[in-house]
Amino acid sequence: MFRQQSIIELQESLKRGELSSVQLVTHSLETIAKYDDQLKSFVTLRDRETLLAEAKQADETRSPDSSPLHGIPYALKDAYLTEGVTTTSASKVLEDFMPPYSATVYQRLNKAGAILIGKNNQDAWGHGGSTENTDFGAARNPWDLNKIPGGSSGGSAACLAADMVAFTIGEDTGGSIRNPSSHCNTCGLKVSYGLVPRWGTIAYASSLDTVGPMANSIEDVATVLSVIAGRDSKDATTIKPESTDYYDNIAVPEPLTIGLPLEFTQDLNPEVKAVIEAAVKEFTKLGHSVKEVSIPYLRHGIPMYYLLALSETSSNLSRYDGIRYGGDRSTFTAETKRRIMLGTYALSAGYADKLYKNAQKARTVLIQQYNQALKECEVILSPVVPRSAPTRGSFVDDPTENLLADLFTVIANVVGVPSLALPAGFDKDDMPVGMQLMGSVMSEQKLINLGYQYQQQTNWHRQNPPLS
Amino acid sequence: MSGFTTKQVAHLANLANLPLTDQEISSLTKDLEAMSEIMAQIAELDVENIEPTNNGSNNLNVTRDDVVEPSLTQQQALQNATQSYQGYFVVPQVVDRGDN
Repeated sequence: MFRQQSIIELQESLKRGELSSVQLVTHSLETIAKYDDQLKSFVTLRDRETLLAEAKQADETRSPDSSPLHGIPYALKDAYLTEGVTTTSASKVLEDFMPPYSATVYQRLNKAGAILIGKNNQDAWGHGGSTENTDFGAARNPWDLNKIPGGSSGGSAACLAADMVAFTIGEDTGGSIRNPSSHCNTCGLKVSYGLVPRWGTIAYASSLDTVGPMANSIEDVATVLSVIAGRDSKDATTIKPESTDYYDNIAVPEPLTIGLPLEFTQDLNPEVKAVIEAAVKEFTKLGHSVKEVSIPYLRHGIPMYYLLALSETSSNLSRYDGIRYGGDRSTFTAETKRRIMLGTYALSAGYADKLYKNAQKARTVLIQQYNQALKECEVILSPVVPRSAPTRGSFVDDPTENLLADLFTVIANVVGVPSLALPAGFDKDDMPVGMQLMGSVMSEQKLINLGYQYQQQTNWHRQNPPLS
Repeated sequence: MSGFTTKQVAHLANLANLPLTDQEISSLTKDLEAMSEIMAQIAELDVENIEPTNNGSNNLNVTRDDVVEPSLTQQQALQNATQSYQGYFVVPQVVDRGDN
C-alpha cells in the first residue's frame, strides 16, 4: 500500500473516491497486528475505535482543497509531546507521562488532517543507534529479525519498511533519522538546524537536535516537509525559509558538482564502498560531476560530537527529578547513565575547558572547513553508516562500538546543515545500504531535487523486506 | 584524562544526581575510561585562538511581543506530579537534612 504509492497518489485516489481513509487506517492496524509483535516498532498504539472514527471523519470532510496529508496514517517517534497520548521517550522514567500540551510538529500535522496511529519505539532519549536502549523491548530489523533496525528512530524506520504507515516523524541529533533509514531501506531527512520547530520535543542535545520527516520516497519526504517546516514563535532557534513548498518546487536539478570527502572514503567497508561507487556512476550518468574534497576535521567528528551531545544531555536530563513529572532517576538505562556521566565529566571543574570548550572551538573549525569544501562542490555525498545493520546485541556488548557507528552522520548536526538519506543498494546478505546527500544551510530543496532525480532512475527504495 | 577511580565516578554521580549501586559505579569506571580515551584527542587540538560555537543557529536575541498568551492550568501543570498538596508540588527536603 504505502510502499508502492506516493502520498500524493494516495491523496488523489482518496479525492476521487477510489480509496478511503478508513481503508488506509484499517490497513495500518492490520499490518501492525500482523508484524509488530516481532518488530516492536511501536511503544503506544492509539485506540482502534478512535482511529476509525477519525478516518471516517476525514473521509466525510475531504474536499478538493484538502491537504495532501488529510486522512493519511502516520506515526511519531515517542520523543514528541502529544496531548492525550502518553509520551515515554522509550524510558521507564516517563512510563506514565501524559503530556499537558502538544509539540508544534504534532499540531501542524493535526491541522493538515493526518491521522496519528501511534508512537514509535526508539533508543531512550535518543541515546543509541540500535533501538535496543529502550525499556519497552528492543525493535528488530524487518529485513532480518536477528539484526538491529538502527536508531535512535529505529521504530520509525522499521514500521515504514513494514508498510504500517505512510510516513513518520523522527528526530536526529547525530544521525538518528538517517542511520535507521539506511538500515531499513527507507528515506529520511535531517533538516537544517531550526527549519522544523522543536517546541514539545524531548530534548537530547539542544544545539544539535532536529525534527524531520521519514518516508518511503524523496517525493513523500518533500510532501511532509512542506507541512512541518517553518518559523515558530515558541522556538527561538527556528529559521524562516524562503518557501516551504518543497513538493511543488521539485524540479530536475541543473548539473551539480558532488564532493566525496577523502576522509570518509579511506578504509571504507568494501560492500559500502561498492554501493557508493555505484551511486557515483548513477549521478554521473545523470549529468553531475563528482570530485574528491577534503575536510580534515572530519576525523575529529566523533569525539567532538560526543563531548557536545553528552554535555548537553547531562544538562537536559537533569530536569527529570521525579517531582513535577516522571519517575526516579535510578530507572535510567545503563546506556543513558553512561552518557549522563560522561557529559557530567566533560563539564566538571578542571575538565570543562579542555573537553567541552575545546569541542566547541573544534566545532567552529569544522564549520569553516565544511564551508570551504562547499566552495568546490554543491553537495557532499557519503555513506550513512560504516556497514549494513549489525547483529542484535553487538552495540549493547560494546558501548564504544555504539559511538563509532555515527562516524558519517554526526557532521551534519555539528555543522547544522541538512542531510538526506536514501536507499542506494544492498550488500551480499541482502541487507540495505543507504547514502546521504549533504548541502549548505537551507539547501533542502537542492537535496530533494537531486534525491528525487536519483529515485526516478533507480528502484532501491521500492524494494520490500521479506516479512512473513 | 585517564585513570578513573571509583571515588571519582562516585563524585560525578553525585554531581549528576544519579543514584548508582556499587556494581554500577564499578562498571561505569571501566566504561568511562574507554569512552574518555576516544574523547581525549579533542583536548590535544590546537584551537586556543578559535571562538567557540555554542549555538546551532546564528539567531540572536529573538523576542516576541510581551503579551499574555494562554498557558497551562494549575491542574494540567500538576497532572503528572508524583505528589501534590493544595495546588503545590511536594518536593523532598533540601535544607537542614542533617547531611551537611
